[in-house]
Amino acid sequence: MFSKSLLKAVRNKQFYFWSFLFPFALMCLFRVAFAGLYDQEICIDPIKVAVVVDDEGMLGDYFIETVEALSEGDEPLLIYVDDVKTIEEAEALFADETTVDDQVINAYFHVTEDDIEIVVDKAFYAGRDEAHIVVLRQLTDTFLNQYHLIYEAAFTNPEMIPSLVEELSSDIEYTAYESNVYKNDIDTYDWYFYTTIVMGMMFNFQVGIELVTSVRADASEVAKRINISPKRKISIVASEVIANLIPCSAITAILFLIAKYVMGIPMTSEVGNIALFIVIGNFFTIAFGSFIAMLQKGSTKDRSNKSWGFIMLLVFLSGEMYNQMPAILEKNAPILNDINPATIMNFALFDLTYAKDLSDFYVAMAKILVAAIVFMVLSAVYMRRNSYASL
Amino acid sequence: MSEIIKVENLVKRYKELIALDHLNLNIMEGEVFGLLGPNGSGKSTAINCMLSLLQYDGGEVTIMGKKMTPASYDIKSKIGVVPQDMAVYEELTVRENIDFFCGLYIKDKATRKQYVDEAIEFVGIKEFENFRPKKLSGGLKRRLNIACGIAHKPKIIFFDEPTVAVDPQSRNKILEGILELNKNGATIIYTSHYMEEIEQLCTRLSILDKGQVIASGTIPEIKRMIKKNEIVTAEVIGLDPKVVDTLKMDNDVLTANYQGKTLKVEAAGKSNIVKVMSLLEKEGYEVQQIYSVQPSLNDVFLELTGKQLRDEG
Ligand SMILES: Nc1ncnc2c1ncn2[C@@H]1O[C@H](COP(=O)(O)OP(=O)(O)OP(=O)(O)O)[C@@H](O)[C@H]1O
Ligand SMILES: [Mg+2]
Repeated sequence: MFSKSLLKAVRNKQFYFWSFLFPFALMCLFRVAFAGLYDQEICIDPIKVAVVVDDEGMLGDYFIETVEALSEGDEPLLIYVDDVKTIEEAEALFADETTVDDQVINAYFHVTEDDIEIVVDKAFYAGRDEAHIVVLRQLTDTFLNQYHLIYEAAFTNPEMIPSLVEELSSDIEYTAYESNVYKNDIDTYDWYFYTTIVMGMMFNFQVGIELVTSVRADASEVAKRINISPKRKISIVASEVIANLIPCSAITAILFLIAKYVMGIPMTSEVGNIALFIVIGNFFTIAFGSFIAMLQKGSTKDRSNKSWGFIMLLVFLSGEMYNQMPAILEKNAPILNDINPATIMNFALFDLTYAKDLSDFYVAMAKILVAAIVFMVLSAVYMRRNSYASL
Repeated sequence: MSEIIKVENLVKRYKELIALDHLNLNIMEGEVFGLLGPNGSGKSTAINCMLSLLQYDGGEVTIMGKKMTPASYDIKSKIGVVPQDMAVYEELTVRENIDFFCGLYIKDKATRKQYVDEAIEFVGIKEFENFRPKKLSGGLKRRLNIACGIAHKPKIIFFDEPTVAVDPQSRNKILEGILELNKNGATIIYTSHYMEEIEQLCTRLSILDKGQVIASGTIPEIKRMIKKNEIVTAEVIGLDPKVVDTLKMDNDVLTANYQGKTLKVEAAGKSNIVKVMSLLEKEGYEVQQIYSVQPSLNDVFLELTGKQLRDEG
């Protein structure tokens, strides 16, 4: 029976359209529409910087090393002017009419005993967008966050240092964009891809609707056959859920692969966590779909038509199409962010990609799983009966 | 023959509409039992209540000596149903559909494969076994619907108007198949609004109207319930009115008249054609043609309810 359930699930054409083709088309659209923007931003002009160190010590040394690393390569983020030793020297090099162009610096870092201060040339600041400033901010923040790793490595494992510095510099590149209210700094472009993947998962709610109608005798003809058979409902429901989870998860995995390898969107390489996200997320949407179907009457079509609007609303409120949506809701009605499964999944996916500490991700997964179980149990109770007042 | 299904005082209401009004049925093991009634008379409702698919407001259904409930899994495992509407998965092929539904009853793979093969053979859709239902013609779809209901070799099979919208050839095949299933030991419950089918198939029947049984019994028993009689029509030339009078004097004969060259005799009983024939021959007439019309179930229905069983045409 399971193999037939799987066949049914795999051959469901509607499902491919909404859960795969539609999100895939959106991704392509985003790529065409926004990729130019993205390229522009990544190619910001290198920022000319100096480093002034108060205190001779490891912090200063490794910071200079990091800055040097970021100044190498074909398209460096920084140009390091290395002969500046004092604040006075540095400020003298800030742009004014008298300075020779190649001696100008845009900003300098002032490294004190345990902190790094950024001082930016007024003229430079006025002429640029915020992105440039954010890059410097990110650079120091990331460096300070990870400095302890370098510091420890210096005693235990000095040969690790170059790779740590390397990693630091690659971390910085991705965060050179608009910073905002989000917990992690969110790249607008990447955001669209993450939310689109989550949208595809949300659209699997229709599988849940079909599940309900295929076992409720008052909703479909085939369900009548199931109801008059000696087979226990719960085993049929379980078999159908698992059978449908397989193609749903496969489709989501394919969307992930496309986003990562075709569209070049950053993704964690922790396969286990991605798998967890995919399976729990899809189990949730199936359970959620069954639950919504439960609240309605009629055939698969009737139930699904009414649900589409609701699901679309959730997806829209989660920031698909307009990435500031969750920020707006956070200000005006934060509860909507807290209970919208699409939003929770979006942020979980971001945490998974960017957060150093995954505890928020696991909390989100736990929430989704608990909700999925609750919805599934309610729907199972609703589907369990096999005698109806009206057919 | 023992009683296999007993329906007592079954009442089913849809709000104000009483779909089944104290319905009583007794179905014997091994028979083909007919449920005849016009559209909306409650045939499908009766079946769905018997199957415990529908909740009902009163009465009791006993199958194989046990009360039928939604949880009577042991009874359910012995029942097969061919529902009125197509009930198959569009995503699965003919064979996969039959296999899926058979799988709800039969766990063992080898047995199931054999049963599925037999069902495909039985309804004659071998060459379409890898088609999806959408690609099948109406008649083939019906046959698939039947195969899905009978593949697990049930002891009791419900057929709910399985021949609706089927051409005469397919219909005959279906009817033959049903008789064969019966010969192999299945008890059949067959609903229809075609009295011809019921007459052809059923050993006993109940006639349903507005959720009530208006007549029950074997076909001759039911026909005997009404006053309508056999009509013998003969063609003879130059019949003497005295012969007609002789006929009228017979106890069984109700009316007799002669017009043109046609003699029409209405008489109670069954073998009046012999009576008329022998009288005419004795008087020396040459009978060109003679036939008799038995009352039909439609006449029964007409007499009991004052309306036609179905619109002719
Ligand atoms: N779900 C329902 N809600 C309300 N009334 C219903 C429902 N299902 C059936 N009925 C009514 O119950 C009566 C019996 O319907 P049923 O389907 O049992 O008739 P039937 O004899 O099978 O007719 P047909 O030959 O058209 O299949 C009809 O009057 C019908 O309108
Ligand atoms: Mg019916």
